[in-house]
Amino acid sequence: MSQFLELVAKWHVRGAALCVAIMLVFVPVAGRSQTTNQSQKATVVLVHGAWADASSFDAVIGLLQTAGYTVYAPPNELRSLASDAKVISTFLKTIDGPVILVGHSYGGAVISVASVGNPNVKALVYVDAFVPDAGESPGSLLAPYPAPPKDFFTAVPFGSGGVDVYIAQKYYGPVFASDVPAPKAAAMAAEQRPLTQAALTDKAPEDEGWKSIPSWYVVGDADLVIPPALQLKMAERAKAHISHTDGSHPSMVEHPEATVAAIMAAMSATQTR
Amino acid sequence: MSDNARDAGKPAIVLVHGAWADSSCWNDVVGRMQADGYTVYAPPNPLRSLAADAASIAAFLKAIPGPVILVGHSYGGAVISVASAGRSNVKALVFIDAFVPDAGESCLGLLSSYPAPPSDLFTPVQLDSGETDLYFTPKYFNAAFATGIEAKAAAVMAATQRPVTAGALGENAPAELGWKALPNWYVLGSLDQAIPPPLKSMMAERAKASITHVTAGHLSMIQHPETTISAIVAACEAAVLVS
Repeated sequence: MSQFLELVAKWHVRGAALCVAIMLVFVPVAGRSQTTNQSQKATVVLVHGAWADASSFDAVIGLLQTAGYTVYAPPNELRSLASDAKVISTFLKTIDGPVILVGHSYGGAVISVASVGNPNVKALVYVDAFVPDAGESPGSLLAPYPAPPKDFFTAVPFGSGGVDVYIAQKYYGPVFASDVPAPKAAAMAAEQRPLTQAALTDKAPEDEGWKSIPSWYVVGDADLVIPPALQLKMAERAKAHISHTDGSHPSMVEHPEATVAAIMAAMSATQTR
Repeated sequence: MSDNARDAGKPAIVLVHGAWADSSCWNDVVGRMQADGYTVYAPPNPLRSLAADAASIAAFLKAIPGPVILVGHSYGGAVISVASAGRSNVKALVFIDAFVPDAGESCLGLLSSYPAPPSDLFTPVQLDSGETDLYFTPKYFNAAFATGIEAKAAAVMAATQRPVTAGALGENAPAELGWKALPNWYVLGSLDQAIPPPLKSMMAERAKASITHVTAGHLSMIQHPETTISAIVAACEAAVLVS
């Protein structure tokens, strides 16, 4: 057995302390930021929402990478607001230099919490996203609006009393990805990652990054999931720089240029472009 | 969960992704099989621990009323091996460039007789739980993981990869494994730089799988989706014949 593999295997057995020690010795971290120090170019971190995965940002990532930016779209576990935010805040700590943090949909609630207390995060960019204030949840924010059909969600119980909530495939294209070509929307429906039922009503904490970090917001004017009127209300409350696109709920899939424009505007304003 | 009543006669196809990927690695397979009238699901593989990941997939399988063909890529092969044990609606397993561990074997253990990777192949992120998330270091991603994939597409995949915990890769498989009782298929990419083809051959033969060789790297379902689909369709046909 090679030294490396042997040691990695031992991490699991002997626990965390050894794990850290081994990592320091054998797994040099080159540092995540691959940009040079002379430019203060931001790293872009994209956080996907529920019923999607990081591939919802594929087109945005392609454009940003072509423009020379370092991009990460780490996993949003979609388990609970507190634990999801913790995963993202832990990931953010591994990045040197300025970060533009982007969230889609439920990912907006996650970046609002994950950005708190991290001075590297220079701007928040919300795309068709929730920007909850203290005590609010996606469920409570949507409550004043018409409810979806009864069979809109499919529940899958798991483990210790948890329930994973999927969007029934027949509604995914018509409602969630309503401007995405049907074959692509059907594949997205099959590949969606579920949100736990509990996370739908997890209340946002008092501390929210958008209260102190400059924010941008892209409103999908054809969004059938988060009503554009609600998006505007949250964006205005956060004093975000608002732009509009003629997109559905994941507007960055078919209109990546609108999301990229907001990210670039955030970079310009924070001198990290 | 029954999303497509018109195809009630066909087994549902459930695709389980591996480490350093997500369900979008199945895009072409999903699209073509949906066009052919199959109901397809690519549920999340949490990549936290073998036992927990298998429990998550098993819970998903339980929610599907009819027969299922279960497909796994890479580490997803270990997960489907465990998740399918005792699940009567799973009719066949299809492994794509995948681990098929036997009892007491782990992914890292199976790789240990092959040359070690560079020490910075993975970028670790220490989690509060004491576990370590391993990301595939972007500079190695195209050559060592997304072998044969066009550079721009590979760069996007590197940015969207989901990490696996070190613990999951070192976790030993339990005694109850679905492949011991089910008919198996295996698609074997011959240019794989992540799981050596001789190791894949050994595991496929041990599982008495029907093996298809394809000139592809570790992600043969992206490079040659038609080969993966052929194996899945063969498994479906065998399952229908048996039922």
